[in-house]
Amino acid sequence: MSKKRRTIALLMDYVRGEYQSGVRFGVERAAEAHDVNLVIAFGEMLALPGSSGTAQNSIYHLIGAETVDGIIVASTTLCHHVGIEGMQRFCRSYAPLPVCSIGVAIDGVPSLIVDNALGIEAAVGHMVDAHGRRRVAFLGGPANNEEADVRTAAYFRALADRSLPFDQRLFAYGAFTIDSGRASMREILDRGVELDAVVAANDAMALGAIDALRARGLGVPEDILVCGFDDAVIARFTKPSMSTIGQPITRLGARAVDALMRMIDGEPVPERSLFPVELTLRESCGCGSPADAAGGPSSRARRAPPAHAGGREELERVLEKSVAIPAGSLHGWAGELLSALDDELAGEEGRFLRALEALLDAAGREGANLEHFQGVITLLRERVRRGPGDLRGAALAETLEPIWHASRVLVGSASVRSEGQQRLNVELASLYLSWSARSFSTCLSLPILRRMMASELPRMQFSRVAVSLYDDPQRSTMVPLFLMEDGREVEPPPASFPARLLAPDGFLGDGERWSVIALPVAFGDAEKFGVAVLNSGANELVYDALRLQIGSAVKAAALHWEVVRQVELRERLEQEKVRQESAVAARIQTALVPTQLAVEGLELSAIMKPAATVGGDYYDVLATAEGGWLGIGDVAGHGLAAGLVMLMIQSMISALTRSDPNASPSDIVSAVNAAVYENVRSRLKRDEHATLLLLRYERSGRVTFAGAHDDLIVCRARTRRCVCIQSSGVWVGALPAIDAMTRDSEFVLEDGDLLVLYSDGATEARDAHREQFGLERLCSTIESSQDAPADAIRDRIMKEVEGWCPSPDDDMTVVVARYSAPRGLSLQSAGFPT
Amino acid sequence: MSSLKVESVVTDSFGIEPTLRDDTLSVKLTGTGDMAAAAPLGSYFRTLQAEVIRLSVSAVEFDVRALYFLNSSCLKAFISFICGLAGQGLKCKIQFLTDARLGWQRRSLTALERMSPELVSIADT
Repeated sequence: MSKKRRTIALLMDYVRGEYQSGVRFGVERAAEAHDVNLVIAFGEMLALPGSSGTAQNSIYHLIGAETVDGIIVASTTLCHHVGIEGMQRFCRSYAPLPVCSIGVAIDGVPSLIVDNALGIEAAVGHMVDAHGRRRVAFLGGPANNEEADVRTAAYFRALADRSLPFDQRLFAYGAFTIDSGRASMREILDRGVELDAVVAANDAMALGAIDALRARGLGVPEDILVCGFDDAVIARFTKPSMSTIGQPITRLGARAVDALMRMIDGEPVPERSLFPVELTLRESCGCGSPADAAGGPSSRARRAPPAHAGGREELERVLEKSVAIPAGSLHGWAGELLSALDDELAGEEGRFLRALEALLDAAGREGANLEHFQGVITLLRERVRRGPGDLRGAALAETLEPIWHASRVLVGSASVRSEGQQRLNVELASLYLSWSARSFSTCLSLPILRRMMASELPRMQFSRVAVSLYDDPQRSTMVPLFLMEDGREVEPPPASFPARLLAPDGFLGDGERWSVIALPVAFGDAEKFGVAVLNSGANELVYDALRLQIGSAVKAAALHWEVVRQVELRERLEQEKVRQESAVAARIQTALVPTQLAVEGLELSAIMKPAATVGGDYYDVLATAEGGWLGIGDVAGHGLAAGLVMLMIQSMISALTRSDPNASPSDIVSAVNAAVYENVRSRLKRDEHATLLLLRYERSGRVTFAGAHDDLIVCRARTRRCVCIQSSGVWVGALPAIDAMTRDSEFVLEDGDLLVLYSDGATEARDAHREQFGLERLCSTIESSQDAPADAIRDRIMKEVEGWCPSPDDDMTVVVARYSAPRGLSLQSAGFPT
Repeated sequence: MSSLKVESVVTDSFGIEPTLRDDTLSVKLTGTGDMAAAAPLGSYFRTLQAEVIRLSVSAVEFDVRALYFLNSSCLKAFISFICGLAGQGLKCKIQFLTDARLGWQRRSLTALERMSPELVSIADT
């Protein structure tokens, strides 16, 4: 049974910085050598409790025993705000997991640190001892950074060791950035203090200092000498090239993995591992020439002790020391190169150049600065020329000159090709990032974001990706949003999983060794959405940009979802409001219909069926001593407003007809109109109007009516046919006064006649072909059922209309009245014309 | 005279097509004026009213011969339009071109004519 492969984590603030890049490179190579999986979790610098930045740092708290067996903390990158005590708490929070620290010595935590003090003392000492400077300014790092503190203390000590007084005016704090170096240099210059050299706590601040000095007309190194710390790549390419302290960053990362693996195995490791630093002299302190700047042989030679005649092993050691190759995978290269030279000299033509070419290829893959191999050629050439050891004498040196020349061309070409390849990679990464930025910025939903990730991420050399989002308020569980395996999107499992697993079950599983980068999916300092896990190997430029892009895209999708949700909620509320209003209107309509239809001489039956969204039909039957009043109408519009207008009309008609049972219908309609117009237009600021037909029935059969509504239908008993009687008025509520255009009309009912009132919901009901039920069908229905009781006629009408249109979209009202003449009374005796 | 700044409306069941000829604004309505048409018709007529005022047209002609149905909510839009013009003090004449075979036109438009006989007229075809 095979042993489960171990997994370790590297925690750092960023993947792209030169320091971070070096540490990551060393850790990745060593993890590969140890055959362990690697999770590189990057957030931001640790923040003080309660301050901003917690969202981006949330990734650190998800790393634990669930996924890893041990943790390397790049403390230098995390400690600026929290200091060494904060780092101590941070490291201890992972107990009982083995933890080691890089860059900051933390009590109780095995720490791998460079000899910062030695570096600064060497730099200050060089300025004083080699160049005779006495006024050496110092630009310190952040106050809470342990490495910065050590470097500052070393500056004081170096001055004291040389009996130079410390002048407070020659000291200023920075923040390890170019801007802060520029600012702190200006601060010192503004004090008007005399100075002749500057040592900065890192290269970035030294660059800023050179910039500030130039701006004041001070030349470097003509007027002021400058030295940095870190030996960043840019230090070789600045003008003047920068003298600096080189620290073995990549080796620190690799050795940290070695130490952690021993800790995981329960083996003891030293509490402190101190790594030496080296002073690299270039132009900014006046020691180098432009030719040395780009890592030429002189500068490397100055770093190493002078080569002197010695044995082959000593030469191998000097050669290996002259090139900084990050990983140990090329161990022994110098010996192999010397053997190739031996073979060449033994007659195997081209052997040395082939070996050198292979070495350059391998070193390029390992991230070495290939220009350093010029120094190798220089050393070999000198040794051959001097004839030391087992190499031949000066005579042979002449025959080797073409090889040295070809070697220099080879190294130069490889170096240019390597840097060109790096530049191309950066340009491609930038191009793809600009595309992904465009794609992700238009994602307004998570499904679209998934599609965009599926199309954009493979371009950036991603083949394994898991993006998961928190699905609970405590952010303890996540659901996968996007999953990619072997460069293809796969359907993620639907189940949620513990957030501390970082990715769905199986993604970080056994099988082939893997190395991934885990980053928070967050927006700004406060909003954290989830975690993205991506395979390492893409251009480091990509990871930080993707972190921002995916975080912003998820935020945009969340915002859009929220907007859609709010709109839907508002629409639902509005629909509910309309529904409630319609329900209220329907209640008003149905509650106000007369409960008893009793008018002497009339067999009455009526019904009103409000539609779902339309309210406003009205009918009423009011008995009086001489007969009664019938009213029917329809408020244009729907909802509560229509119901209220109907309520007004019903109330006013009820009051006016009770007040004067013998009033003229036209007078009442005109009075109602004036009141409704005032209420609706002037007070409610609305525009509802209504049809209204008001009929005054007299026991004798005379019916006087006024207003505007659908035709009245009278089905004559004598002819058994329907007669339609038009109304002649205008609508109520549309004009302030309708007195002049509202006239009474009348007709007479004979014994057995049927009077049918209805609303347009009956005649305008439409079938599936949009054909209306119509007045003719209504009359036919009445005629065919005229002998039935009033209730049956009403029901027959409703059945026919509803059969025509099963889902009416308007209220429907039907009033049926059969007139019975008083016994012994005839029209002629009553004096009516027939 | 400026050109018309109100567009045609075409839906599955309803259409409005305005044209400006001399100082007469002709509006052809087609289809079915049911609940679905009520809101857009009301909104359209508010814009149309602004156009009548801007262009100072002397007459608006509504051709409703191909308008097969108009419910009370849509009729409300016509009433608001006519009342709106009257409220602005405009003497703009409004003529309806109707089809006597369509029952709603007789019932509704006759009442409209009675309401504003000095503005509204009906021409049966």
